[in-house]
Amino acid sequence: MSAKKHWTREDAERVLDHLADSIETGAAAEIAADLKDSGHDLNDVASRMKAAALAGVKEYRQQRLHHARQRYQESSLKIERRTRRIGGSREERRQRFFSVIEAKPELKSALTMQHRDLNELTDTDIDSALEELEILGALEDLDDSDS
Amino acid sequence: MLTDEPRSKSEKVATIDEISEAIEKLHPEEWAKLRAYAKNRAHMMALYGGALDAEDLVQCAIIALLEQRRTWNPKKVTFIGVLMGAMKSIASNHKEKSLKSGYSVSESQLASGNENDESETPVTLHPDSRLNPEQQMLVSEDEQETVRFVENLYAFFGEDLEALLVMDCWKEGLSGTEIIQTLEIDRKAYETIVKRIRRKNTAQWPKGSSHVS
Repeated sequence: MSAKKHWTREDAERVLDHLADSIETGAAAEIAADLKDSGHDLNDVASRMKAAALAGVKEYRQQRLHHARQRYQESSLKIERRTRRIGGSREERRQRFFSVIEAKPELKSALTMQHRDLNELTDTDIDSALEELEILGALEDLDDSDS
Repeated sequence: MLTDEPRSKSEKVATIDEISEAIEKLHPEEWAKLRAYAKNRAHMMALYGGALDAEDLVQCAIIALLEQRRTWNPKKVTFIGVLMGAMKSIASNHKEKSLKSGYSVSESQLASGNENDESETPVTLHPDSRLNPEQQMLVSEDEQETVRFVENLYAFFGEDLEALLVMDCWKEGLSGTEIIQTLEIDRKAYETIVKRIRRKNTAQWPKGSSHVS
């Protein structure tokens, strides 16, 4: 029949595609009967396939759990760093603020636009300025240069 | 309905519980059908360097469904329908990636040589340069094994001329309707021949093994 000696990959693929269509549209009972007739154990086939499907569910659950754990660890770390950077006593926070301003004088001009004299800053102003500096990453940069 | 398109707000996405329940509800006959389909698609993937078996593929399909990369509307499509759709999509994406990456070369890109030349096959002509020689050999072996699997299926039919003719037509890229016209048979006769080929294909599977070959 076939004139070609060799089957190419594309020849094989076309045959497989037609067989796939036939399986897709075929009755499950008929395909199962073919399987049994050719000596396969239907229950064994079913249990292996079911186990694989359930393994997919389990893998997905584990992936989700892993991601949730990762997100939790990341946010805990963030909170911990933030507390370390802007935490401490009132005096320590004030001191930290001025250390940053000293290390990064360019920030001073931005802050003095809001407050003419930095020495007049209240504790609340210092806290909110530290929060802003934390968001800007200025505290992180200072920690890096300290270490 | 299975789709990779962005979902509209009204489209329903199956939950883990719904999918777990659907898995529990499948009958052995339906698992047999799923396995036949998975095995077929795993063979197709092996032609493009894939190394998955039927069980791997069904597992990937379940994960794709759970990751909501695909939607499932139980009112429109059955659970095996959505899983077969997912496997079809995984296999065709694999083929596309394989061709894009240059690992595999499409038929049209191949130099037209002597068809009877036994010295080189498309598989051996284009191994992946990123793999070491041993890996290249193993991948090529898998691909050639699958081509041989289909060749053997063809050889199985010996005196069954009808089946051989239909497979020749498939090989040439003809559709079912074109084959019916070419062979001057009716659809029922064509479907009977196709079922015969499908049955022989199933009989070729090694018993108890899950590997594609």
